Amino acid sequence: MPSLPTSSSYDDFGGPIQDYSMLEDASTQWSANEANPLRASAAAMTNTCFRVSMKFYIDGYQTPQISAFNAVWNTVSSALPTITYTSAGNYVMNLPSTVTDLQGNTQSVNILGGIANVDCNNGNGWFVTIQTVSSTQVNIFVWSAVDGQLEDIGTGPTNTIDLFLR
Amino acid sequence: MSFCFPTRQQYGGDLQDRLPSQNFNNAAATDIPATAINQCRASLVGMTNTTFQAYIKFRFDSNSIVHYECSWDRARSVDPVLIAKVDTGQWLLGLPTTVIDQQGNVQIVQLSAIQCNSGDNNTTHMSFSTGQIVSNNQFMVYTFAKFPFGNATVFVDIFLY
Repeated sequence: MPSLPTSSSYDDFGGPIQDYSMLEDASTQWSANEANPLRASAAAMTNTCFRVSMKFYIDGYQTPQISAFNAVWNTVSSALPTITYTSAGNYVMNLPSTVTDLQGNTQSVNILGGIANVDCNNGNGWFVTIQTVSSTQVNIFVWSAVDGQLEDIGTGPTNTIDLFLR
Repeated sequence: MSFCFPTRQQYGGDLQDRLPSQNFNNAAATDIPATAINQCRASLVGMTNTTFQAYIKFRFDSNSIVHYECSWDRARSVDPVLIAKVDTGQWLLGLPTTVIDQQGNVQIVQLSAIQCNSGDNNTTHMSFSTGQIVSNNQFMVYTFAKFPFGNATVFVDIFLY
C-alpha cells in the first residue's frame, strides 16, 4: 500500500477496530478508541497536506537557486525540481515524474495546484502567481505592483519565492 | 484551528513500553518502541493544527470545480458549490454547514482562513486573487487585474483552513 504522495482512506489504514480484550494497563496499552481517531486523522490529512514546500531565488546570473525544499516523499537530490529562467519574472519549474516514497515505493508525481509568496522586504510591492501546467510542471509569474509587469524581485537569498504545492 | 480533528487527549496520552523493545529499527524489526509511537502521534497531532481543510480548483468561466479534496469523507458529504456571481470579479462559494468526517461523525464546518492563487497562463497583465471568509461555511473569491479590473482569472486555486 503506497503512502504519500498518494492519498489514503481510513479503510486503507485498517478502518475502525475494537479492543481485543479489556485494557489492563492504560500506560502501556493503546485503546482502539484512541487509536481509531488518530488513524482517521492521518488518512484525512493525506488529502489536504501540501505535497511540496520550497524556496528559491534568482542569483546574479539569472539562474534560479533552490534554497529550501521539503516534500512528502524522499527528498534526495534526484527528487529535487529544476527551475529555469524564461524571462524577467517568468520561471518554469519541473518536478521529477516519479519519486520514491518513504516506504521505498516508486510513485508518480501529481501536482494539482498551489500557492506562492514573495519573501522580500522590497517596498515596491510584489506578488506571485503560479500556473499548474501539468502534473509535474508549474509556471511561476512574479509581478511588480508598480507597473503591473513581470519582473525579477532582485537577486540573492534575501529575495525568495515561497511555493506550496498540493 | 482544525474543526475536523480530535484533540491530542482524544488520541490517548503518551505510552510506555510494557516490556523493553528488543527488535526494532532494522530490516527485520518486529517491535516499535513506545517512544517512537509517541513521537509519531505527537507529530500527527501537530499536523492537524496546520493542515488545510479543503482544496478547490475552480474554473469561473464554466462554473466548474476542476479539483476538490477535503479532510472529511467526501463520498458521504456534500460538495462545495458556487452560490452566486456577486459582481464582476466577485464570486460567493460555499461548503455545506456540516460534513461527515472520516469516522462517520457529523462535524460543523467552521472555516477560519483562506488562501487563493490566480492559476492562469497570463504574462501580459498582472492578475491576482484574494479570498474572504464570510461565514462558517461560505467564502468570497475576488479576482483583480490592473488592466482592466475585472474578470482577470479563469482558474483559481483555493485553500481553506
